Amino acid sequence: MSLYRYIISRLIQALPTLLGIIILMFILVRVLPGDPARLIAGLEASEEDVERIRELLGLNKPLYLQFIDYFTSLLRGDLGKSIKFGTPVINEIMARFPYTVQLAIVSELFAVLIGIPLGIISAIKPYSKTGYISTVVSLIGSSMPIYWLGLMLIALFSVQLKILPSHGAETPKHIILPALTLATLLMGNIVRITKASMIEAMESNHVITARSKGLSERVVILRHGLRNAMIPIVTIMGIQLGSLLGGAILTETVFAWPGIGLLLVDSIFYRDYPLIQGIIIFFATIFILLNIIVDILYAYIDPRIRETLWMKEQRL
Amino acid sequence: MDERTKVIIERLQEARKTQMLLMWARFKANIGALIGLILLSGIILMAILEPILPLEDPLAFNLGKSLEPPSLSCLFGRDEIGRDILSRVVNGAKYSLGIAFLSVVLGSSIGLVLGLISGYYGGWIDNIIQRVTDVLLSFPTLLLSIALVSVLGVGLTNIILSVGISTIPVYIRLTRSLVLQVKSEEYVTAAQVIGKSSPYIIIRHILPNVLSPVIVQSTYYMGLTILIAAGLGFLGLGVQPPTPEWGAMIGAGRTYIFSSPHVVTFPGLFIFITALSFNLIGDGLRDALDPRVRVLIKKVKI
Repeated sequence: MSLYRYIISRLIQALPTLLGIIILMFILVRVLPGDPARLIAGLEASEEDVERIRELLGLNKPLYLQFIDYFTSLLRGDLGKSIKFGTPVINEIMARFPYTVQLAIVSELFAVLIGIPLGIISAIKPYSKTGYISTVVSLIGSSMPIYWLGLMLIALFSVQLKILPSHGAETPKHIILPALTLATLLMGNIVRITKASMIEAMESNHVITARSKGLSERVVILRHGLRNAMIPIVTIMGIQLGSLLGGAILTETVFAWPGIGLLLVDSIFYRDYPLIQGIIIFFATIFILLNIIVDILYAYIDPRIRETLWMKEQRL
Repeated sequence: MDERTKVIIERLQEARKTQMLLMWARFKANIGALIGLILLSGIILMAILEPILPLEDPLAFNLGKSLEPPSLSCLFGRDEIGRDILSRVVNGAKYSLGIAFLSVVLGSSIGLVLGLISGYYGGWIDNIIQRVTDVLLSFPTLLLSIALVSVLGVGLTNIILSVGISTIPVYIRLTRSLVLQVKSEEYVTAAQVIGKSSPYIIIRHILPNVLSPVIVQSTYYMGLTILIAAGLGFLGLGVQPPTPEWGAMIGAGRTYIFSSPHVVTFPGLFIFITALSFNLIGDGLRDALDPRVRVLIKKVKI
């Protein structure tokens, strides 16, 4: 199977999942306690007004017709209108999405800048005290309530030291604390993978050759070891982008970072159901696409992985 | 029962005992796991002893002493309306542990049953269950719980339901792959050949073999659900104030981070310690398991 056909088949396989997400969200919103039409009209509105809105939104039609309406407008990229803002949901999402992407990229950058050196250090002497660094970092990553960590960082850097801003997104400095917070979720995996693949790379023949040529340890580690350990590290970075989405909801709330996560939390408080529905479908779609891209990159980078992946796909 | 059968049964029981002892030995050798066990016992003990400890009423406010910093007479200080944070933290332990435990029990039992059915019977039913699992797995766990909470509404039962349901898909996948491993074993074929019914085989021969990995997975999930439930509380979508749930305490206290950071420091520290203890125990249990099974267990994250 060529790479091109592999990509097409992965995308086609994702379609039923996507349809499932849309159906699930449609059902969830329809079983909600409370009448969306009444919600839009407000509590003081007369019964006729509510009925008019119901008609306008098509809420008086049978459920399957409502779904067909909803689905066809989705295909046109129309996610409905936000109750709170009165604007199309897709516009709201697109206005906030760049902020979440920025946060994700800078967090990943921080995680790499801190994680890879720690991984290398713990790989050089895996059974010494420094070898435990990777275990500790990865335990912190899976046990830390990051919203709390974020608040602690604010207390330290914004309140005590007064060197970094705590809320908002006005200047480039504003991204440092939220990105650092989110990076703790990612660092554990990066340190672990770096350690494992460095240990493997350092035992390989070309590193032994490099050593016997009399190259300095530094050159051996960085040029011959790390370079060969990069593939798994890059892969794990891609896979993690998905788990960033969950963490972003919490981090954005702590730092009032105006991304999609904050928008989601706000829309839940306003009971802005079209917006909630739109954001969750958007999030899940991004998550699926990211997974596909990672699989494709995987296959592209390493021919050995390519073989097994494609065989697996055919088996499923 | 003749003499020979008795001997065989005895030997089998002995073998099982040795296996358990081996697992315990491997677990004990893991310092991290022991630390986790000690930390967790401390938290559980705290939750149990709470009614008899000489603490203030966690809900009693005292506006004259609001935001009092930690001191010897008041170890963790007081919150915005003068409630004693120490007694609130101690009182909150049962919420965190209880929510996590009940949602894991809910998620694992539903996931286990669906996974057993999916893996053992295969065919169309397997197909349907797996496609639904695909859909659920395309949400990060936290997002799925938020989506469910936004529909079900806040409150203790709804939190447990939402968090529990969002853990189901991973359990289905885990159980299914374990069943597929066990299904081809000779004793299962033998039971099928002598005409035992499928439910009998599932319960008698397959379930015991998939249970330990599911338990290990649950240990990790205890850590995660504590973080998620507290996260929901922090966002205002979980247990509601004035209940001293740790996440809700952080959510309510975050406004005071500029003047009185102690209000959020202690609840957060306890969330961290509790989640950490489960992750440490999980690591220990996982390493004590059979390596063939170990790879199937997913380390879970928000």
